[in-house]
Amino acid sequence: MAGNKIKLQSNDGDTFDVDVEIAKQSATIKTMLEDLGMSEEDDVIPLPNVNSAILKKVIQWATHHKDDPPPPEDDENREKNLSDISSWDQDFLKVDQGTLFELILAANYLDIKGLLDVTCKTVANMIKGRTPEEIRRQFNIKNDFTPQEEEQIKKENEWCEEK
Amino acid sequence: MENISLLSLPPEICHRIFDYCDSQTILLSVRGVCRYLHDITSTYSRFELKCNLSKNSKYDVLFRFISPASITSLTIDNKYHSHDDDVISCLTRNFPLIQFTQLRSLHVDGCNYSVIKIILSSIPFHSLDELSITQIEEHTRPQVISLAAKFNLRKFVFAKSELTTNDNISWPINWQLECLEIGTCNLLQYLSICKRIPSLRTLVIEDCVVGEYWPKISNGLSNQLKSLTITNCSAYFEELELLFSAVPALTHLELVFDEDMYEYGLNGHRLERILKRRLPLLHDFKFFFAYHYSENSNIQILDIKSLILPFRSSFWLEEKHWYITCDHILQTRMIRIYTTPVQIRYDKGRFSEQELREHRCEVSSKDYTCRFIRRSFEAQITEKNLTMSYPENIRTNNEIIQDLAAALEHDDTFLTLDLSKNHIGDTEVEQFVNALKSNTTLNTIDLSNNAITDVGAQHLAEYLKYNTKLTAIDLSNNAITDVGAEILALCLTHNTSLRTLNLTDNNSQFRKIIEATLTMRTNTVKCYSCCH
Repeated sequence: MAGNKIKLQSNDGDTFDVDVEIAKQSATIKTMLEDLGMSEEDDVIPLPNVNSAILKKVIQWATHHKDDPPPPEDDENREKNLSDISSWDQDFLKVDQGTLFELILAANYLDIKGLLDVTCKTVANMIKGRTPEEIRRQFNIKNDFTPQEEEQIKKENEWCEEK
Repeated sequence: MENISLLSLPPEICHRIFDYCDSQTILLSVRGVCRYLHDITSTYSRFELKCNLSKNSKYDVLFRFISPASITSLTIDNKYHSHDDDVISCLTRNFPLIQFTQLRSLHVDGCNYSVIKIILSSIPFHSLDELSITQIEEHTRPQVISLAAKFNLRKFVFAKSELTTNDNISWPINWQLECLEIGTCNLLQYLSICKRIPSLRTLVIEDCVVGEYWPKISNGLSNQLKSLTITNCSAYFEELELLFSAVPALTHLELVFDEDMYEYGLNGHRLERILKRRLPLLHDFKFFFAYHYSENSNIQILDIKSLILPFRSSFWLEEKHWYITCDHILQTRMIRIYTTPVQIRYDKGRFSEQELREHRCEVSSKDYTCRFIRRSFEAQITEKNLTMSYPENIRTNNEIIQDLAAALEHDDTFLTLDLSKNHIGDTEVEQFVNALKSNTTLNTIDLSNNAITDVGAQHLAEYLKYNTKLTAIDLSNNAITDVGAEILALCLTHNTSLRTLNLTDNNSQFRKIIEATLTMRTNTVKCYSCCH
């Protein structure tokens, strides 16, 4: 029923009151509520993989997107257009990399397809068209290849003439 | 908080990120970053590979380290237009086609029938569900269709091919196709598609040439077809009605009209009648209509408020919730009418950069209020503090002025309005000052080099009496005489904000007016005068 609230608890112990309809954008929570019959008002749903700061962001995202049409079920039709991130989402995702990756992990754990898609798209945009060195710098990654391995990769990359 | 990085993400999430990258980025960049990402690319199994065929291709090298079975989408593009024999030898040398066992989607662009035949006879039958073939010679199209019919396709795209001359095309019966995209077809082909492919849900055509002969369609031919898109529609209303009558179960309709279609604008009343009568189940309707009116055309163009009015009926607003916007780009003389939000696959190349970015008068069926908008056609960027300058020497007609005036009424973005050299007369001045009564942002108006007489000056004077924002008006080179100049000067007893009034090159001896003005006012109004 509309207006019903549930309590979500982060792994650092804070609880958040959330409209059931908003929380149900998470397929994980939806399953818990429907299959496990966790519908009593006082029930608290523990989310051991999500901390308060991230859970707050996730709820903020889900509240903004509560009236979105459900994403297409079948993965084949997933929208691959990278420029279609709404300006609200773009602003929402102007966060440090740590937060962005935590949001991805939370979206994955909570199974919120829309949030997972938009965060993955954001990371893809940070990767696309970059050289390996630029990607290392962007994400602070160390090059752990041996010179021989690097030589091998360089050779393999010759398949593409239009580098 | 522990530091989470890209490398903390499990492989399946990285793969999800790869889904939004092109294969070159994954293979050439990500693969060479570090060992973890190198390993993750080797377990990725949804590569979408785009191959340009040329003599120098070394795709055999690629297939030494990624498996053809990890490729789900393959585009073969003969963009160098190599000769058939070269293409075939390149294909057989480089592509172990038979090993593409997970291929779901195949796109072939610019290849001839003999090449397509080799490709389609080599790839495994079971996996493919989307096939797209672009640019194929006319006489081989029927053969290509029968080759494609062997696959259990969900989607078939036959792009950039006008089928109207191919009378012998026969669509295979019992094809379980759900989605078909073709170029321009004729009426009989359209009807035969509806009839012979009963599983079809989505049809995209460039256009349908209806012609003279109209067969009678008593009952709908397809009750399965739910979505119809016409990307360059040149059908008149009666013809559209005929096309719709074949597909009464339609729920989605998208129409991008050919530019030269309706030079009077799109008639919302007629559209409403046709949709009501023929497509009762329609709930998602998008259209896009744009036309340039020519400067010297005798055709009476309508102002945008009149164009949008039919779309304010209860059918559009309350029953269907289809909201329409009409805009008028003064600079390039273009009027557009379209459903909002704009989510249509129109060809952006149809519009100049200017038409995507230039400011325009816009009215929405939602609130029927004219506004100035300057944002790119899709992005929502509104800029402040603009100068509106109307292009010089365009014969303004009443509708343009009406749109401009209606938009100015509710505008709070423009600081200056430049209407110089526009053949503006007294009637237009009256329209403008009426519209500007509620405007509180404009501070400069340039009306120089127009055809304003004392009557116009009187309108301006009335307006100035109550205005507190305007600091400069340029009326140089108009037809204002002493009478008008005096009226203007007198109004300055009420107005205290105006600082500059330029009346150079009018038909007036101005000395006494300047004197009168300057004595009546202690502030710094400067009155330029002609001295002839």
